[in-house]
Amino acid sequence: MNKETNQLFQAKENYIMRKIAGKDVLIPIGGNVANFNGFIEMNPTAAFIWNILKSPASKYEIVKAVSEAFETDEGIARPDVDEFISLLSEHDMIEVL
Amino acid sequence: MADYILERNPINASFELTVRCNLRCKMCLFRHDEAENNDLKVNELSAKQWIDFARQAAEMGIGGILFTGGEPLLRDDFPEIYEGVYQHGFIISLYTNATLVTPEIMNLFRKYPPHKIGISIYGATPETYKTVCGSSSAFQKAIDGSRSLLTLPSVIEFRSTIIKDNLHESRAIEELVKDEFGEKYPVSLSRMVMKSVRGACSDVESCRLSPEDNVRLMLQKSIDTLKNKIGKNFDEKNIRIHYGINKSKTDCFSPRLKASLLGCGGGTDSFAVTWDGKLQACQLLGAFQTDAVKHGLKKAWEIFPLEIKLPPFDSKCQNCSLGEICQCCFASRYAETGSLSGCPEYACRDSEIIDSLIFKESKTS
Repeated sequence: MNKETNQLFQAKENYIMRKIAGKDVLIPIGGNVANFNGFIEMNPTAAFIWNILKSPASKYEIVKAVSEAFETDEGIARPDVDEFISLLSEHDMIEVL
Repeated sequence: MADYILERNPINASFELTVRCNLRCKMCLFRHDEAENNDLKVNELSAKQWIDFARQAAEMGIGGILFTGGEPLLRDDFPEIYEGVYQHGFIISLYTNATLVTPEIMNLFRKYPPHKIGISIYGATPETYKTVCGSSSAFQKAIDGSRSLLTLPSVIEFRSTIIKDNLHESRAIEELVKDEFGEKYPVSLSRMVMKSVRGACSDVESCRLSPEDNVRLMLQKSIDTLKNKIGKNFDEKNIRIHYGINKSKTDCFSPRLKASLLGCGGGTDSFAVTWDGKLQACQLLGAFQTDAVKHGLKKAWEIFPLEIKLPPFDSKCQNCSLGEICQCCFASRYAETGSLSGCPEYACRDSEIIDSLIFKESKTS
């Protein structure tokens, strides 16, 4: 739990999230445009988490916010949050503070 | 069906920042007489207006913005426009002739790289640039500019238009790109050169290829590929030309019907804004416009379908059996004949030549 509360994540600045044709997408800007040849479509949960990550947030805070917003148990939300955070780290889209 | 027809989501927009250009390409669709440049410049939208259009475009859910011209880099305020539009978050494409790539432009692009850059290249020698574009020095500038742009993380595509004056270098242009910049950069060719539009001054008819040469050029690339693969035993007489229509049985169950205004995505999922602020279905088709300055971009897009009034086709087109291979659209009809219903002889001849080359069994299988 300590790691989950102490370690903070924040979205990198070189993405802009906005709606394209009614869907939430991330547009890569700056030096990383070559990493994604196009935009990244986000489902509602991913878009929700990305909005949280605009400010530094711990995994605990994210899980709590997701479970409240989507009215689900933290135990159910945690694996999805873990997976999404891993994916963002893998693609160098977030910073670990 | 009614709901589907009403669903018009604009996905892509072209921002035609100017129709002015530092080159004078013989086949340009949009270039005006140089004597008009001062008047044109005065009536171009300001940087502030383009940036406000970008704001509105983002609200409308548009994903991609193409900066085009003319030569967009010719505008002194290009950096201001570009940065202001970029900040709203789009997949940014840029069409340029690469001759005006200054250190200032490179600093801008290093900070905010376009996602895709289409570089026009019209010859493999200074002499051909002189003949086609009116400037021999533009050749080296284009090479140097391209080399700089290639240092960006952007996707780069080279684009060319072949006319009578550079036909002899059509292969050399590809070789040049390969030698100077590497094998991975394709050179795409304009399929058909149409007459100039919206008051542009180019005499396209005098310089474009004959339909026969144009079709030969179109086939040249695939024939060259076959030659390279097959080697010295290759015999061009054994080539069979098929037209790319998939007639597999499973296709019968795929939905093929799509509602549109003009038979393409123009005005349905994309649009262009002209240098003076008119919203059109595409950069070519100036017959239908709404005023994006007066109404705002969103309203101009919403009311655009009300402007469209299409007459029935020319009787020759109505009875033509080559519709599947015909390259005509309303924009080309209008550019070529001055009428939305007219039959463009150039495109017509193109279809007839292709039809005569198609391996007939493929048409009936």
